[in-house]
Amino acid sequence: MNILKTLNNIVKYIFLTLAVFTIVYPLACMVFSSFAPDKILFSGFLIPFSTELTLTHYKVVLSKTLFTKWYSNSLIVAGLCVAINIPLSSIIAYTATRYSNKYKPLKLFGPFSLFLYMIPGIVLALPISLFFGYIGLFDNLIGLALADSTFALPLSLWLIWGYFSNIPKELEEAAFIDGASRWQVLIKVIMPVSRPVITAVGIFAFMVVWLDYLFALTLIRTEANYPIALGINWLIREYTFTWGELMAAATLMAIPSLIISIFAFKYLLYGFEMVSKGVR
Amino acid sequence: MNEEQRFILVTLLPPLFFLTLIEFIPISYVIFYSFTDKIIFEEKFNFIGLENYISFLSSGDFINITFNSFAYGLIAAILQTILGLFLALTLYKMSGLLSTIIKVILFIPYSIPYISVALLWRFLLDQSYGPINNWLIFLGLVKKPIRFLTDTNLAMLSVIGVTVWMLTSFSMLILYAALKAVPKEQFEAAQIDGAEDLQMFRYVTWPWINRMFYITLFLRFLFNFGKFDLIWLLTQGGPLKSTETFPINVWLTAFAEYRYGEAATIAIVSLLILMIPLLLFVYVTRERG
Repeated sequence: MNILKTLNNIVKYIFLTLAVFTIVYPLACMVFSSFAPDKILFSGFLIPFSTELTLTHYKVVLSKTLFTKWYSNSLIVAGLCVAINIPLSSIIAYTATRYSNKYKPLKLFGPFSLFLYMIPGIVLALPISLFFGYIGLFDNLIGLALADSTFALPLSLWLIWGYFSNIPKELEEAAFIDGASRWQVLIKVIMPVSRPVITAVGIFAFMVVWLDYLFALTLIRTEANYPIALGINWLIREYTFTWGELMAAATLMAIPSLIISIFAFKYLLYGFEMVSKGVR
Repeated sequence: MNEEQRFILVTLLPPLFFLTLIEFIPISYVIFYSFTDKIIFEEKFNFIGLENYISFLSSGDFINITFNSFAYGLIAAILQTILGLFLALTLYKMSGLLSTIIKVILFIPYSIPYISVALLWRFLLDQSYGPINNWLIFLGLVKKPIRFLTDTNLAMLSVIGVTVWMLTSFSMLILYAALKAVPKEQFEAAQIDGAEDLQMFRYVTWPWINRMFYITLFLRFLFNFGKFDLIWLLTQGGPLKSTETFPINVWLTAFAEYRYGEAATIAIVSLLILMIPLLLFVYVTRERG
């Protein structure tokens, strides 16, 4: 029995090591190539390591393009998307969970938000590009934040809905006895105890914008309005690029992701744990 | 109107307005234009009834795209969910700093932008300078570099591979959460009875998480089926349409060929195809819940 257990452990560790290697090797290649001089890149390297490193690729990316402008555009859109999603999904989810016994249709909010989440992005991007043209939101950062919300809002709704359903009613009742209104309860009682799931939703909304390519591609035309994803694409189209420069751009764009993934795993995990308690 | 009704109205109206703006109006647009011969940049268009639908459904494109979408969606979803389950099961029992570091590392690909992932893999799989071909040649496994993204037989497999690389951690996250939601007493009772790992999984863990497993599998399928970004950035649907799925075809028809009406039709068809598994899924989960 003991041998079996040891064998089991060995298999597990080999599996984990392989998994970590599969993730780390490509990432290491990306970061390495962004610092490696062209002659190493063009001679075909195997191991992403060298003592000869250079900052040329970064200098080219930062000086020959509107990189910082694009970067800040992306951050603005991400900020807007977070600012739209947190309050909207909280108030819908609150009303939907608190009054669902009295007004039955509100029960459908959870499944309905999942349904919206499943609509392919292109089905919405296609009409949004036309419709936003009519209402002046085409080629506009606010328009892009709204478009990204079509993807961020449904899952945010679903996560918060799952969480709010699990908050015991007694928690609010004490506040009602003290004469608090619904709004006060929502802001002063519910929101503070929901901080983890609200953080999860915020992270998710940020990630939707940061990852997005489709909506940016269909909605943004002017170079000054590019989010960073389109900016990198511009590098490929308009500029005779080398892999080093592209990898430098890709690395710069991945930096916030590294920071996010430290928090994202923890908070998204928490959010989904709450949902899976409801789904069984 | 009492205070309660006013609260409901005030909290639901602005979100409803918002959802109308970004979901309902756009969807009605697509439905509307799918019955027209609208061309982008042209004001005038005619109603042509079901003509778009008939010509699309009877074209060879339809079969090719449906096949590609299902192949991509299903294979990637199955790989992601099964690998995700293995990772979740392995990591679930570990604790301490090392396991946290591993979890964060495994989660990195999911939070990297599609364009970074696509560029990275286009570099790794590059014919002339890519490290993967360098390795294959160095190890003597191949004589000529493999054209991972430009060979009609390999492109789809490569795209699936990159998708699995990037998105498996999301399945891992959901299944890990499902495992954490299993009451601890369940495991403890089984441990006292002396159950081995495999038995434990079969009789204790699996019954608790199987619903979440199928939900994850299903969500991954829907997600892959409708995803545009990764395939577009890796192959643009090529070579020779071998990786062309519904979203790619919609985009090409609308923005490369300017046939907006037809693109709307293809988008609606893809939505209708998704409806079948969706309704089945809702029905099945409701029965059990």
